[in-house]
Amino acid sequence: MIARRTVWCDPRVKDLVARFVPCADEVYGLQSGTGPECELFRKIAEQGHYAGRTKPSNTRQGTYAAAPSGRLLASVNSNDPARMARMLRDALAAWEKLPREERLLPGEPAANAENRLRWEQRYPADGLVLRVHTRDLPRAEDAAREGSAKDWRAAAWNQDFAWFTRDEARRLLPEDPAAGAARAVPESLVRRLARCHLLDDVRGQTSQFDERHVARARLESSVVRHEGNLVGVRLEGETRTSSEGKWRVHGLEERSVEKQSRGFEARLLGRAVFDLSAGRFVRFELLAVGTRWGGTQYNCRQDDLAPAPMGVALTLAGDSPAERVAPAFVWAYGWK
Amino acid sequence: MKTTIVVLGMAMFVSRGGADAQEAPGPQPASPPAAPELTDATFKPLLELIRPKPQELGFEEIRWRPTFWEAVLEAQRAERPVLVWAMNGHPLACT
Repeated sequence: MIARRTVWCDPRVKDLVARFVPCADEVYGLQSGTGPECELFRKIAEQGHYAGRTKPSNTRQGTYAAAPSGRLLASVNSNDPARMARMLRDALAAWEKLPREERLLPGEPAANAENRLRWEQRYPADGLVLRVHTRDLPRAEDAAREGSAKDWRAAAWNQDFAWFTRDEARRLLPEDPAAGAARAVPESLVRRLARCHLLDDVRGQTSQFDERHVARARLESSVVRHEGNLVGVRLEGETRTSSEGKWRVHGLEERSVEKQSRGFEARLLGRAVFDLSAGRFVRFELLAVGTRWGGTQYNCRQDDLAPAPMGVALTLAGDSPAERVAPAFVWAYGWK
Repeated sequence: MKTTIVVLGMAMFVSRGGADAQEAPGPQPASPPAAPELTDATFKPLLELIRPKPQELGFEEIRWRPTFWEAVLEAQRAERPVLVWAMNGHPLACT
């Protein structure tokens, strides 16, 4: 996530990237899946910076420049734009030297050869797709307080997507959308929001909450305006998730598991506009603001476990290919 | 930005708990820490504060293909090298 700001915003890097066909993808599925796509990725990765590595983890995270044939050109796993630019230049030089017959896959690769189930196939084109952004909020004693980082963590933010099917989206407003009408959003949807999206991933990946960790999940929807086909809705509620147990919070450091707790208690407030003729939201803004505490193995909170303010913003996403990526915890939605 | 800071400052003053709230151990804070109050008045400044700023979204100016195979197919057709940014968690979602 750091690379979004440091590497991929760098103008030198962007100029070099323009000479490639760039893609972003989730590494675990690629390095452990089956089919031509995963086999090709493994072929590339096993020539790269983490080739053969098993400790401290077997991840093949990073950035790889390769010929479509699977020949590695260069690779690196770095948040340093200068290192990335150097790697890209090296890769382009290697590409220039590569004979054409070694650049390409033999024959035409099958368009449907991914051969693995991707949640993107469940993208709710006629439903509601939200961008989710998380960020720490200002703290009263920022200067003196432990955990108030001065490095990249001070301005950290993260993102995800949240999906609702057409039927689920319609249940976010009253059945009869007359001005003044109100309803409680189905608890299952609010609990899903709390479990899968109101999460502390500000500084890095975290885990979802289970159903048993949801202590409160309430969202009221009321119609504040109805003009023609447009229905203005106000959303208001609260959630509380809390989990206790033993787990690691120090990333890949070799430490024993310790007793931990984590959670997020938030107020929810939002406003949205639903177009009855289109059967979809044309505006949607929902905030969850409150107190988070604790950490998980990879969310970089090891020195910031005490309660502190955090915010989550959910806003309408576009429908470009890059905005059709599945939510991190879509598998925990309970969709059949 | 100045308005945002003033409004949030007021909200924090209204809602913050005792001075020791940040130090409270355990799963439930003994008194609430200084989370800004979420009201109609603070909604817009908080939304602006949480959402990334345009300068933080420069990575989106790159036309990332969202799957590796999609990029491979296109690179094969165009006879260009492919660049794969592969992370734990999809880099365009949550990583």
